[in-house]
Amino acid sequence: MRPADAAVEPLDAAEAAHLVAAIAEAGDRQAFARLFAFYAPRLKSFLSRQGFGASDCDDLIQDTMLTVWRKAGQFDAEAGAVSTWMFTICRNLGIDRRRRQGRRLKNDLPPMSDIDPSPSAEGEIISRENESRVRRALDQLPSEQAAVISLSFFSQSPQTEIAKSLGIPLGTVKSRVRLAMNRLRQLLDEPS
Amino acid sequence: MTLSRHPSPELIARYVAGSLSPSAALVVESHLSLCDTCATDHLDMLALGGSLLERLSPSELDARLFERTLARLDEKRPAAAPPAPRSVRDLGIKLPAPIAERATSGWRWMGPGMAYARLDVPEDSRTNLVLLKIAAGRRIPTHGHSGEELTLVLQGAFEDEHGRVAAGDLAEEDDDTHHTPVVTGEETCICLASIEGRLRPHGLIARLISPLIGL
Repeated sequence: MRPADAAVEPLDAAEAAHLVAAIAEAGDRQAFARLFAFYAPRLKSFLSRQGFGASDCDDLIQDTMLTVWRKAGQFDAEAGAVSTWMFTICRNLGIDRRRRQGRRLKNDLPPMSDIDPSPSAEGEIISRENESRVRRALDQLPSEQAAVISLSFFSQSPQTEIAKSLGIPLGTVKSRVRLAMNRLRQLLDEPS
Repeated sequence: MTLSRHPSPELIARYVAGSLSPSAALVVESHLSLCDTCATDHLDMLALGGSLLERLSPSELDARLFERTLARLDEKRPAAAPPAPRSVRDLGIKLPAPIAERATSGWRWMGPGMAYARLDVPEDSRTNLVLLKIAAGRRIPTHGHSGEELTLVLQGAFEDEHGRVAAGDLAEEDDDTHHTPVVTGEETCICLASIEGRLRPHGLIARLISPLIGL
């Protein structure tokens, strides 16, 4: 049970795609509010697991949502889910921010001149078939393995966190992750 | 310990989630640009990222964040400056697209039959990105790692305790590994490597080299 969910209705893939379409076609602020209510708190969970502090999180959530608003017309529901699109946008903005911070650490001044800061993956074509296979595989995965995958995916120090959350020695984490990943891989490869 | 031709699913997941260092991400990206098999895995991992995002439990937000975002909806987005044209030094090898535009130090001598070139990754403060060029039959000094090392072979092949790594292959090494790669075949081997932390060389040559290349 996740009590924080009570305030926000779950959002299924079809509805999310409609909301993005409504933003693209009519600049629908209600639709934007609904997307924000569902995704912003989850983006925050993603970003804080990535090690971003509170103010970085707030900036990156805003920038992700503003990108959704501006680029809604480029979203192609045939090519993938809204969640994947938003994940990719947020991840790219996070990488971009980290790069700029790294540059400052290294040089003390940020010459933002020469390198295109954002990876191009936003435009990646993911088929619907990809999406539904992944969803099905995640649903079939034992919950402990799903948790291991989520932690190893999102966390900045996955090994320590996995050891803590499963109550297992640090030395055995790698093999747990490998097992979970292999199981996921098998499920992904199974014909539907 | 692991040495595989393709990045492990864990590594692709970390790449997709954005948790790799910029240099390591460039090595993975270079492999993806050369490998069709991994391109599919990469798309699966992106979709996995989306699905996992949906399933994360929500965190509490600053109550004013929504209003602040709404207030910015009509902002004009600053136009991105066109990238400055770059002159890239020719290293005599076709580099994968993700690193083709990087400034480099040019080839520097590192020992008999061995040269290195540093790639400039100004946004990375902890990991080095280097190209290594090693003549056929040469043994790369035995070394351990104090961090993660990713090696993508761009030309030729090398072999170590775990097997053969040929052009396009990516080898993952971490802090539990010690290895002694030998370049096999007739061709000079050129690798792209991201090296986190410091190399812990065992051999004399290696000890001489590491201060030279600043690792």
